[in-house]
Amino acid sequence: MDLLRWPVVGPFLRWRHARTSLQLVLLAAAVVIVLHGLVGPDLASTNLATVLTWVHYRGLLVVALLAAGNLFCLGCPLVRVRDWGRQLHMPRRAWPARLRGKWIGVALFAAVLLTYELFDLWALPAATAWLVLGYFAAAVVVDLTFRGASFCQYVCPVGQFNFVASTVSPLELRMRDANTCRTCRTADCVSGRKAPAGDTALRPRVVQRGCELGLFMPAKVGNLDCTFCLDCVQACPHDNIALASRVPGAELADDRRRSGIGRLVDRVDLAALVVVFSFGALLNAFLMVAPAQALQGWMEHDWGLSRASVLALLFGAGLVVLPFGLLGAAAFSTRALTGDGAPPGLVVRRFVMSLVPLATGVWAAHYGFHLLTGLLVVVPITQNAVLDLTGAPWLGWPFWRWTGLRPGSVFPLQAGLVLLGAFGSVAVVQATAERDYGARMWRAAAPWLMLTTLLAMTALWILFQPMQMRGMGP
Amino acid sequence: MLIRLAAAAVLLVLCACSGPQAPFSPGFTAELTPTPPVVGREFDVRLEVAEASVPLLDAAALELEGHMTHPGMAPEVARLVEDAPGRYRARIRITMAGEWVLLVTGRLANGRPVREEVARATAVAE
Repeated sequence: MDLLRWPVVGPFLRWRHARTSLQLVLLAAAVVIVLHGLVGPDLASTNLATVLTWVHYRGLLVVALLAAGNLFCLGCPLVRVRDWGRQLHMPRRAWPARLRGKWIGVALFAAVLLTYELFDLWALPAATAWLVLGYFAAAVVVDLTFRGASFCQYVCPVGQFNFVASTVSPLELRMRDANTCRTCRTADCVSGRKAPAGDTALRPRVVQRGCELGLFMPAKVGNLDCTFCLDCVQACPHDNIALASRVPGAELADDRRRSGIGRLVDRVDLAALVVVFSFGALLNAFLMVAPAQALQGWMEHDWGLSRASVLALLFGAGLVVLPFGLLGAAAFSTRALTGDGAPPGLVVRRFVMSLVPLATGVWAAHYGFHLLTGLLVVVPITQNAVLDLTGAPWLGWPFWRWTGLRPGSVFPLQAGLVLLGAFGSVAVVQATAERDYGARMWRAAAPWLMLTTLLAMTALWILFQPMQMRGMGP
Repeated sequence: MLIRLAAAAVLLVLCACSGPQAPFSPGFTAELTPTPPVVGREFDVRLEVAEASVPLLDAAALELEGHMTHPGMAPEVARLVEDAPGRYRARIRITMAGEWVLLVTGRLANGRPVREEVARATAVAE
């Protein structure tokens, strides 16, 4: 199935300004977020900055990843602003070689999770607005200094989240016919389409850029590092690129060398990204339930620690110590059960990708909860914003009763998402073990299946706990 | 060109709007029972307003809104009942543990909005 050949959807996606139109929609939303965050009410539940950012954006992003693909990178307004900036100044420097990799993105991803908790960002409309402005500024500074999509590839924490989660998306951009790519001599998908010869004197002008993340279509495997920008579709002179359906998550057990990435088992930084993505999903959800509040209160009172120290300890335990212990134990068990002499770190890198489906299920269960229970609050808050702005109820008096599903009614869906993710993780463990251990596959897989079960049960336990919305805000 | 047109349209709309009236804060003091509020139960909010504001207020035009600090959660809304001049009460049902902000909102007779945060409370599970 190729969405680029569907009626309506296909022509729209192939339209030269499809991406720009999506970017402008999200840019308008960003402008609303910033304006209302800075001048609107302090109360987070009545401000569009906090509601659109922490309820709708996060929820819809995960829904889009699970239903289609990396649509929010496709429509990212930061890239639109950056492209306007590049009309004034085109950077020539390459991103420093020693900074290539995901380490900066991993650190920023963990930092975002920590600062979100530490400063109660969900409860601070003005801080949310400044965060969005800071995000725009960082993207523009990085991408006006370094060429290509340096910010997307190496820095953006949301982008790293999207890259990992998009491995379980049902769609991917890939070549239609291998022979066409084999005979292609221009590689426009990665280098860009040039103006016809004679148009410029020495250096042909690029009229359509190729993949800014360096993904060469014939060697592209899966969705990692793909922003779904469709530049390759626009650039390919042979119309040989499809937006095709596929088995979600299958690429996690695919160990072929990937364009722009290499082999997954060689990438320690990618393994670290998956660890933060996976254990961060559990930690982020855990910190919303009553036992976590009780634990934090106990640590603050009985140990005499500040809130910052408590959170630093919990994040250290949740994102470093616990993963190190659990993944290490699973790797040593696999070695012992199979007699495999591979270093434990290599065994971890072989299997760590199997955590992604379960973790995506946990993120979806968590963010889906907020989205579904607060889907309609945007209506009364918009009515209230118009009332505040104009002094008259042009959109009617706020319908405060418009919210969303009752919290309890969402639980079956949340449990289903976690279980579906767990089944996906089991399938990736099985495929990885079969690929690397052959006849010893079940011995190799057993510790990782136990780990998947343990993490899935932990996720379900968290969902069973009473929610406790924390943070007093301003 | 499209962007310039859109920007001009937004500017026109903003210019056409009359400036909003600043919300009026009558000066409420609130007493909550029980403290802390318990999830699943209603709790009483008794309000007393500053004497100078008493003649300005009409209980029928006032509501008590209970908002969670976390965005996306359903607010609880209750009508204020006037017990005596300047004394009001309302009952709010707490639906989730966590931080709640109580606001009195409404209108004065001249249309000026009333909006005042009267209390914050941390609701606990039963």
